[in-house]
Amino acid sequence: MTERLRLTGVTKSFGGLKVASGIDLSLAEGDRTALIGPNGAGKTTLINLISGALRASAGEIYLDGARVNALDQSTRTRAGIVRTFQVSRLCRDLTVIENVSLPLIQRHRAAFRMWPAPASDRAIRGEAAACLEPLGLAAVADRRVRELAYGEQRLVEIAIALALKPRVLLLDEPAAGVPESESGIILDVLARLPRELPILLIEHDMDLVFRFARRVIVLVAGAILFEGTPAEVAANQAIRDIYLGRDGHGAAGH
Amino acid sequence: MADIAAAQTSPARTRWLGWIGPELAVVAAGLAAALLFPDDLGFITRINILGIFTLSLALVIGQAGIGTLGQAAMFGAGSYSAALWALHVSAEPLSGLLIGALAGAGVAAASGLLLLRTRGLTLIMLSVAFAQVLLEIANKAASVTGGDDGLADIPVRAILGLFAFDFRGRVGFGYTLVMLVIVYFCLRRLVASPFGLTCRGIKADQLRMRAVGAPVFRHLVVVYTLGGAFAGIAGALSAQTTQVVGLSSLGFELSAEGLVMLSIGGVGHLAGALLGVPTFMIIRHVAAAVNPYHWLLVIGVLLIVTILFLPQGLYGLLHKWRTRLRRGPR
Repeated sequence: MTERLRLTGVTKSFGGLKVASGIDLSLAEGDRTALIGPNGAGKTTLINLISGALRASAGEIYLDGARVNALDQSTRTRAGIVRTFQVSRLCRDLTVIENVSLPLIQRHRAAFRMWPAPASDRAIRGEAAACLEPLGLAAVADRRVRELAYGEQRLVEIAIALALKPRVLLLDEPAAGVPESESGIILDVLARLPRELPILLIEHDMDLVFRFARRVIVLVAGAILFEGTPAEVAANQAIRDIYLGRDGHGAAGH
Repeated sequence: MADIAAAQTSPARTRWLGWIGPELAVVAAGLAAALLFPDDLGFITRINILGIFTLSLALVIGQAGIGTLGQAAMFGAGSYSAALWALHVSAEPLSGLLIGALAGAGVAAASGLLLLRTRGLTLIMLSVAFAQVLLEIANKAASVTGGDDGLADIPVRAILGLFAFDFRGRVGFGYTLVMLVIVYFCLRRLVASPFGLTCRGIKADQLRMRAVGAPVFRHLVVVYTLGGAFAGIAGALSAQTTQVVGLSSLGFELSAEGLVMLSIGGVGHLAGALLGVPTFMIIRHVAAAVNPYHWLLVIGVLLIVTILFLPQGLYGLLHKWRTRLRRGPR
């Protein structure tokens, strides 16, 4: 499998506080990797470092073999490093289809076109509708995001990510805040994501992690403590003590 | 996206209304005002000019969410450059407009590269400071700008060689109304474009927009520059129709009044600018006539009432009424 994303020795410190230290990580085509760890372990920080919201203090980040350390977040996004947010970040006063049009406008290089062009606008709208359809969002396309149930907002977040045609997808707790009754829909959607797309998933829900991931990375205090298959992680007593065991059966942080 | 929505829901024969309807409404309102108050053409001309200025704010603040209290910098730059152009190069008015637009855009681009790296209160204070610096420069460079006296007797030739500016201000009124309609038309297209949608996305959440690959800073500089060009046009029109330019064209009061007018009309929509300006101007005119010392109090109360009871401004109110009418009485 071709490698798409590689991190070597990625480190981030705020003053004396190291929030990520010497992280090595590789994502190849088709990878389904989960990133777990207690609250404050630096999971979201790692996604921020990869996506460019934060700059690494040391270490290298490569996408498709090219170093991306110096690129800002927008440029990394356009290059294919796409992330979602733990708490939905959507334009709440815009409609669902407008939200999904925003990444398409970037991809179509139409962001600086200052007049309506029916053919191109229709193409963008059509593609946005096509992004919503498989996520079951077609019916709410013209509703404002603020009127949507939170579960639906989480799906819009995923629709936006997919509209960017990612090379690597970083999912930050896609089911966070969604009532249990609806989290099955999110899991369904995750299961149907393009097979070859490498995904790094942060998730607290261990059921979801074990069903989704083929590899699990355990992050503790900004460093990788353990890396292995879900079965190996479940069998590791040290991890059970540090993370899984603490809250009984893995609903840490909720 | 008002007219995109209209294009989808209405039959073809009413589509032209969405295309040009609001502009026709502006023309109708302008002509009606001119016919009803033929002695107040100067006042109506001022409304047209401030309409363009406030539209530029509706773009910068209402669409892109750039909080600024220094838009007069671009208005004044347009005024002074158009005046200097007329005095020293050519009194042809349309070229003066172009110079005013370029000056406004240039000042906005140069200051935007610095200002737009900041946000919130810092941005507001820097925009105020920048306009004040320009004002002080204009004050000190008296040999060019006339300093405190400003520039007077600015020559203006006939527009297109056909319409000479007349004593009663009819040509000035028509000229500014046409420009207002052109600017409004252009801005409505811009709001409905991918650029406009991206602006609203940036206004809503800059981090989100970076995560969809938008070059947020570049986008902000471009929209701020465009806003500067339109404010510059307004400034140039002011110089040409009044034939004087003073320091007040760069003053804080103008920036603040623009924001007040936009807030009264409704920040989130272009039409808000066009509703807010005449409302503000007429109320101020009447209040100042009744009591020349305390008219500011009336404006203050008006602003407080708007913000408390009409957060979407007059536009929001009209919009609510229209939706209610369409649904029919309940």
